[in-house]
Amino acid sequence: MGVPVNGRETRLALLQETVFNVVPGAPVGELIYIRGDSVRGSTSRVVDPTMAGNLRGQFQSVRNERSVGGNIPVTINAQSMCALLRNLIGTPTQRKPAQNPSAPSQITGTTISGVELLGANILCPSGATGTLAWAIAGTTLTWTPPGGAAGTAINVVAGGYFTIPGGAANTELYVRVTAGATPGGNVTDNAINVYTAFEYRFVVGADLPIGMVLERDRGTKVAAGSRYHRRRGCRMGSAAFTLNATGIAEANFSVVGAQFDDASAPLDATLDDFGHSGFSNLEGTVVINRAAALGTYQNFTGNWNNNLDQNGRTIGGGGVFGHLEAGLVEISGSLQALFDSAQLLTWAAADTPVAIQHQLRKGTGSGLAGNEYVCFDVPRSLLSEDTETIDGPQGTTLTANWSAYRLAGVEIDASIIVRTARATV
Amino acid sequence: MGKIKDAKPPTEATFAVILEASNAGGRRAVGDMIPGRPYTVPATECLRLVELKGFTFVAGADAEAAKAEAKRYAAALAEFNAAAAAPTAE
Repeated sequence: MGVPVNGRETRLALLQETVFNVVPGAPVGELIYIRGDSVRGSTSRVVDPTMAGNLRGQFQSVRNERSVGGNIPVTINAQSMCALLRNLIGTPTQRKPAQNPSAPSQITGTTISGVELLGANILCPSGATGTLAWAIAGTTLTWTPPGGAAGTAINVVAGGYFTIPGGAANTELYVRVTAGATPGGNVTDNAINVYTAFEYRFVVGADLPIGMVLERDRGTKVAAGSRYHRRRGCRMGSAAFTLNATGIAEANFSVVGAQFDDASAPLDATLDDFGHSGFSNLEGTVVINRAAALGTYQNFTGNWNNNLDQNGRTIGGGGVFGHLEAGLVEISGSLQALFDSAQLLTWAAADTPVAIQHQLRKGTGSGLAGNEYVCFDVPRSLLSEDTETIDGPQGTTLTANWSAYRLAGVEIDASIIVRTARATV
Repeated sequence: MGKIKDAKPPTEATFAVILEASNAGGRRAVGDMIPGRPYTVPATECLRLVELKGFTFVAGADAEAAKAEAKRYAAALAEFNAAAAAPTAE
């Protein structure tokens, strides 16, 4: 009797390609912490349907399309999931996390209403005494970085994204301001920490990374020549993120690839291992219109779909995709709420833009080890109008489907924000 | 010409490298290697770890020695493989 390969004996390595469907010349691989890996290679077969006299049997089949596809389910984390997000969305911006750590202001990062902190320049000095000042005269924000001098005041009355300079170069603070939501009087927040960690903002850019190699180590039970299973020319088609009231926070990444083969040796025998610290749903919060929505929501789902072009096979290509170009990105999902008010229905009926954040936070959420943070950030979405159903005598719920959108003339700004100790993504 | 089939493949000298904890960039490990501990590995792998993974030689002078050793080893291995592929002389 043989002993099968146990899933726990396998490992998944991710390596970036520099040419689509070509193994990188100087491979640097990363260990991905997974719950499963159904990304499989397959080659279909076709049969010549020509008739031959009175024989009823088919001709011998021939090889046809070669394809790679499947899912990588993971527990949401701020370590190896970054590599998956890079392939789902693109290379992120890198900043230092900045926030006032006192609850509940950490939802937006500062006690100044209508202002959300989106990190500081990666070269900004760290410390606990940064000061952000809102002045009603001039409707300005002024930033004084830790240990530094105040920079030029910036008028933020129009709302949107702003860079607030410190007194020295490379000390900027990045903020998002909601027009009309700022305080009616002067407010100073002098407890903004800038942490020696990393904040990555994965936001839609011009294109996805060229491709990735997913290399599975099947373990020592498999003969040497077939031990390493490579799926090449892979791109991230979509991902789904789920937050419930209890349990483990889950994400599921869907991969489409071009080619697969086996090898006797790994591309990188010393994988970068950033560790794993998965999130519990008890560490989650749903934030609606910049305020924590406690006691209302039971389930959040977020879907990120790149709409890959899967018509990329060409004559002479051997049945293999020559490209997997990304189409329009669709960012959507659902919110299941206790039906305790008509608020969601009112928003849906009035086409009211709704800002949604699904935050997962350990400790202070600073990004330092043990304080990781992941946020699914949707600055504006519209809700579909679907009224409630009554399924029985007990509590009723309402599910609202949301879809993110972009403002005219600019790229969509929905993003996923990760604060982590890993220095590179 | 001697009996090539009885020849042994060349061996590669080893050197000590380390991934300083301050240079780990959040990595818990690189393969089986833990940041902050020295590891002795063959010259070619040393050079790869230094170039791609952020390791440094424990002894700074080893950097040039490892390059020379990797070059010598590659040549010796190529010569060995070529001889092994050729018909043996009895």
